[in-house]
Amino acid sequence: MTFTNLPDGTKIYWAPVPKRSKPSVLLIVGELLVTIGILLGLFAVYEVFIHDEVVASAQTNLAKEFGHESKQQFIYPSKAKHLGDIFAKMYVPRFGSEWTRLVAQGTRWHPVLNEIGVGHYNNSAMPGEVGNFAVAGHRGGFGGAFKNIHRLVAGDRVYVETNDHWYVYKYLQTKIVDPSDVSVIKPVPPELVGAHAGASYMTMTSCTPIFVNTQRIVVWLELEKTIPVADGAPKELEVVN
Amino acid sequence: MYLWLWRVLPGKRLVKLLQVVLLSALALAGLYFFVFPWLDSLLYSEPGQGL
Repeated sequence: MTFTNLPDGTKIYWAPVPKRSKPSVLLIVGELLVTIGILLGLFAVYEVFIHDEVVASAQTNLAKEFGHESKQQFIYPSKAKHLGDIFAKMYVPRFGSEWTRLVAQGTRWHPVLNEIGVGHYNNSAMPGEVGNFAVAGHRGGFGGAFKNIHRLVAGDRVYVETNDHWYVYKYLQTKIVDPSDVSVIKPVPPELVGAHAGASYMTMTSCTPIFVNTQRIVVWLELEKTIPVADGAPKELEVVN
Repeated sequence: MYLWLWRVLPGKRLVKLLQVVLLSALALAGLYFFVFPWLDSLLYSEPGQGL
């Protein structure tokens, strides 16, 4: 213990300053793990709530730029052979009155599902054709085009706009299948009750459960009517919008 | 790291707290405006298939 002698002979003793212990390895590792956990949590929040909404908004705005009356016209479905060729626009009132997405050739993330929104399975039928017009969209993340696909019920309609026609499809059935079950997009889907050759079906596919993605949710619809664009948009759609 | 930061920040407890809030806001802004968008583009840059 240190002390100081004063002139009068008294001694002042100084209490020792406690040494600050060095942080242990365990503390450093613990803090690093906590930091990584916080960063991962923040990234998840960003992906689910922020990035998703930003992309959804961008996809909706992109869709609004296209149309048979707009500057940006669709490619004719018969000529949409390349990945990313935009040939139609979809409206699903059940997903919200503002919901609209472009439909492009192919189901790859880039540039179709992540940027445009809805992708058309190559080699499946085109809108209005006999067979199965099959499309895919993200369930969660990147705008989640088909986030509410599970909400489609009997009586719902899906509207598809091309350069020449409006195609109105009515809801038939929903099914959860394994990702390997590719028969759902066959021209006559075997699991669709009452499916028969010669009909014009539409299949919407997405992942389920949302953000888990271990299975696929499939919605089948059937062509109800075809309207030339010259006759204007379907009346039901005008009411919704 | 966090304890060290708390020790080196000048001022009394309330002033330190204010500095921590400001630093956190700065870090969050950096993460959300620069780091996460970059990380996102990096993670999903390859053509993928799936939903």
